[in-house]
Amino acid sequence: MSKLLLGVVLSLSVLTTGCAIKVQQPVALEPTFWEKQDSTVGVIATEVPTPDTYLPGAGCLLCYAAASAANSSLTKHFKTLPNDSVKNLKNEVVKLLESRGVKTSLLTESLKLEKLPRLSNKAVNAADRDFSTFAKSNVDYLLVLDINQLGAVRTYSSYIPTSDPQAVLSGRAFLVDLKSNTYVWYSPINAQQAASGEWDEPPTFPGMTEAYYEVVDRGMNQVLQPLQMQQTATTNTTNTSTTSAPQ
Amino acid sequence: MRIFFCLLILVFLSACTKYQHLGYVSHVNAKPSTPVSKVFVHAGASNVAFYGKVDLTNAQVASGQMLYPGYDGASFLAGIITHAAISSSLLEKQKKEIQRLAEEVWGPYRQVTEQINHQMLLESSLNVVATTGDQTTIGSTPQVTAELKNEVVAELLPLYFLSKNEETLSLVSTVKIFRAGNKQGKPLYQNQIEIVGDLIQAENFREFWLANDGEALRLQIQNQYNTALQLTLNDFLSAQPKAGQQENIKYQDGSTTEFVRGEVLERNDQRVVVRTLRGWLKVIPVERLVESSASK
Repeated sequence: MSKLLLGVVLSLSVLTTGCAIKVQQPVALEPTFWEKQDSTVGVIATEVPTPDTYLPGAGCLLCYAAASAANSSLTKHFKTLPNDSVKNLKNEVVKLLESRGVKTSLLTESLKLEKLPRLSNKAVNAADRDFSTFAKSNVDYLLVLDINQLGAVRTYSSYIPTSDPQAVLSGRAFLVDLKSNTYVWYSPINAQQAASGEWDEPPTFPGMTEAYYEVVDRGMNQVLQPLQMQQTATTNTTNTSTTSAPQ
Repeated sequence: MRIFFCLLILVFLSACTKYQHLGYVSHVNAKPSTPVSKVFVHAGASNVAFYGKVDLTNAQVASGQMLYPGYDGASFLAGIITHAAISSSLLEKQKKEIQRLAEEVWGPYRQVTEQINHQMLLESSLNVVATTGDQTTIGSTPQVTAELKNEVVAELLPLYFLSKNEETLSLVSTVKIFRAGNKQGKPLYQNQIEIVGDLIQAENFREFWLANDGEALRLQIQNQYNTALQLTLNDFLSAQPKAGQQENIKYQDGSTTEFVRGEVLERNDQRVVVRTLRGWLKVIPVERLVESSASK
């Protein structure tokens, strides 16, 4: 009986340990990073999503169907909004790094994070994926832009909306040292904004549209500002090239 | 059948959760085909309204989870209705509370604001506003009477907002222009004009506003009213412009950075005039503008 009990306890502990998700904390960029003048930073981005609506809390299938139907005109409108600025963010990052004297290489292909080998390294700031393959592109560091939500979010409790929709841009930006596969900079991106005043103005939703442009602006600044802030006196010539990501 | 009823009730209840923002108007521009020779300006209300500036960013109610009784269709629907009513009232209650807290900001200024009368602002304003083409004369009328009949009347409703830190005084004026004999019908012009106040350089904003019996406060209130009336008349009387390029504009508004997207109609050393996505007009002092390194 005691063996059975021990077995159950061990199984439960293995099961619950497996459920624990490592949450990466933000990592500030060391000021000394800007002194590494011989290093090259590759800049790459995951595919930027088409603007859409997100309905967290509409848990069951029927709830989600009802919530989707109730927000269909907003969804339809958001799908027409441009995401060019967000797509262009990697170019803005390259421009910024160049202006700070960093050798930069723009990797033009979309990064597919799920295709990189997953790592279970428990070390502090260890990357959750193996980025070492990018060393083949002659880069020492890889700056990754990963935007995973773009559009509007409206919270639900089953069938009932518990908030007005808010424009949203969220994701993360990070810089990986390819020798150690660790984050030297990690910054979650989260910008949300309610419409100023009324939000439900179909078919063009001007309030929500303005909020969308605001979160795009704010979200992009969340990436660019940390790279701008630590000004150093170093001014070097830059060396920029455009290459493809390794296959 | 149950799905159909659920959807029907949801659509109905979604409409119930709408929060009508103070001073909200939809933009209408249906100018008369013939030139307007005279516009009578009318003070829409004798009192001038003063509100605290509300920031609804990230204002969300906690989601009240509820398990729906599902032993028959009627009880299931009753569960949804109850849940919706609770969520809706929570949302409204929270927004009203934010509005109430914002309005408290005007407390110390009551001695000045109680003396400000809409008709007084209007009469002073008529001395300084001028129409662009010299084709139209501007007068005022204390009442919109039947004798005015086919005359064009502009009715303003000014709402003044003060930021939480008491630095930024802004005017949001709704305006409706109509034929005197058709006040309840479709207006010739309807809009919202926002004048963001000048940047104040002072150690103590309250002392600044209240010095000399509220001289600075009175002056800025009058100046903003003049600007709003002038812009209204210009927009109504000028030719319908083609829609131009839209851009993002950021500006400092008290303790917050505000964002507006729209078409820039005027840009000079003093101010930027923007037509927002809703068609509203917004005047922002140049000294309040904030540079953005991100999107255009």
